[in-house]
Amino acid sequence: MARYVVTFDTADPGVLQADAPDLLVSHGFSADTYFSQLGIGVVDAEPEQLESFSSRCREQRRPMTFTPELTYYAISDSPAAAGAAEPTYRDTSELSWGLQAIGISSAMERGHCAEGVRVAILDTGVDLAHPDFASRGVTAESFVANEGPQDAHGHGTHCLGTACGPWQSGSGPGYGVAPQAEVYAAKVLGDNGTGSDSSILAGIDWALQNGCQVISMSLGADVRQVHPPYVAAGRRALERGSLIVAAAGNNAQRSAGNPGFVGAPANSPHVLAVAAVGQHLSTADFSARSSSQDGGEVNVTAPGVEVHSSWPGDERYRSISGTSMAAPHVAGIAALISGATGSRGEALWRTVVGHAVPLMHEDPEDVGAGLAKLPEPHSW
Amino acid sequence: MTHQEWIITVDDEHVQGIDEVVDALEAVGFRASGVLRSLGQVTGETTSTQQDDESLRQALAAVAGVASVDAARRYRVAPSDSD
Repeated sequence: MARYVVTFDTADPGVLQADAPDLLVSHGFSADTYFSQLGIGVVDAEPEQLESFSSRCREQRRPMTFTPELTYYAISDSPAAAGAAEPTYRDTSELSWGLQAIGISSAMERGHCAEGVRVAILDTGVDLAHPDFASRGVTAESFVANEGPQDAHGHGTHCLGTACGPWQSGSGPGYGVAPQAEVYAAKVLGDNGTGSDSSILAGIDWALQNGCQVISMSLGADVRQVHPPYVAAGRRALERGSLIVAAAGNNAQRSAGNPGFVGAPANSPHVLAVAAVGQHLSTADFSARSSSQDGGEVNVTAPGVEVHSSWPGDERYRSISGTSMAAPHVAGIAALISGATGSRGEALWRTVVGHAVPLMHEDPEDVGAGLAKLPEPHSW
Repeated sequence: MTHQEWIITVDDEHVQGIDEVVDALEAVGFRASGVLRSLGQVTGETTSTQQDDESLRQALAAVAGVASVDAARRYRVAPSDSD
């Protein structure tokens, strides 16, 4: 006997609340652990029993699937993991802590700098006069009525800097992941930091027209429901060889017992959702947890606390926190990998997630496959 | 009079003929603000005097080639604790 998770695949409340538990009981299974809102139960059974139960359910047009129950361990409680504590990262005079944590030294050693890769940053625009970008030939476009692409908010310039800024800066540490990427800055959020679907989708469309391999979106709405336009947009972008990366959201307050949830559009199945960790590589207090929606899982995590990057105006640099800061780290990683390997779309998604390093002390619901990292020097 | 902003997603079969879908949408009172050819989506709005938003949505959804009609949402920079 083993434990299995059985799932009744329907949205019909009559089936979920009455028929499904009745079916379980009438076939000799326990309905004690059955969640009627979800249509999911956990039963002790032999696989053959469940095979025949599954056929009966199908005959009665109550389709059911079953999978072995997985057990999750609090690995941090074990003595082995206690000795393998993650390092603590700090900004140095050379590099931001985020660049160190994602393993930027591998790209430096191999000379991979995303040359020829186009990265779109959909945000509040960019400070086109910033000294680190003035000579980069940034292509900027505004999709916000009555506003040009110049960033009067700061958020867009900061995110753009993390994804595509320099490895070495005139003042302060290097902070950008993909320093030779061609930058496409789409202003889809106004100077007040808000925007609508119309602007965001227009920005995605513009990025696709321009052949951008990577699209980074540090924006969201705190809603659990998947918004259908982004399901289609994410799928069509992947089909055209463009990977959309989005911030998971900052609606958690873990210190108060609230883990939050991945919001839209990061909860769309074809959009890669990025959570945030701090310098100890533990999940940030604000970083949202996977939601139960299909596609609502966190895919990877990345540096998102006290992230040093570019800022508009005389200030030039600022350190801020958010999953907004984590997503462009991953966009930059995707750009470097795409530049080095030619990988795009679905394949690029798999490579980025595949190189994430599991964080033993963290729940996969919070960090997905783990900390996004660059490949080891010998493997790209 | 109320204005409602919509996102129209065109189905895979009609993406190549998106202009015809736009014409058909406009014939039932939709004003397109953007035709997103790479995504196969159309943004725009309706103005209603008597009809409610749901009946307008159904009229748009009935146009041949329309996969989904969704009311536009607002988004913001994911705010941070130190923003």
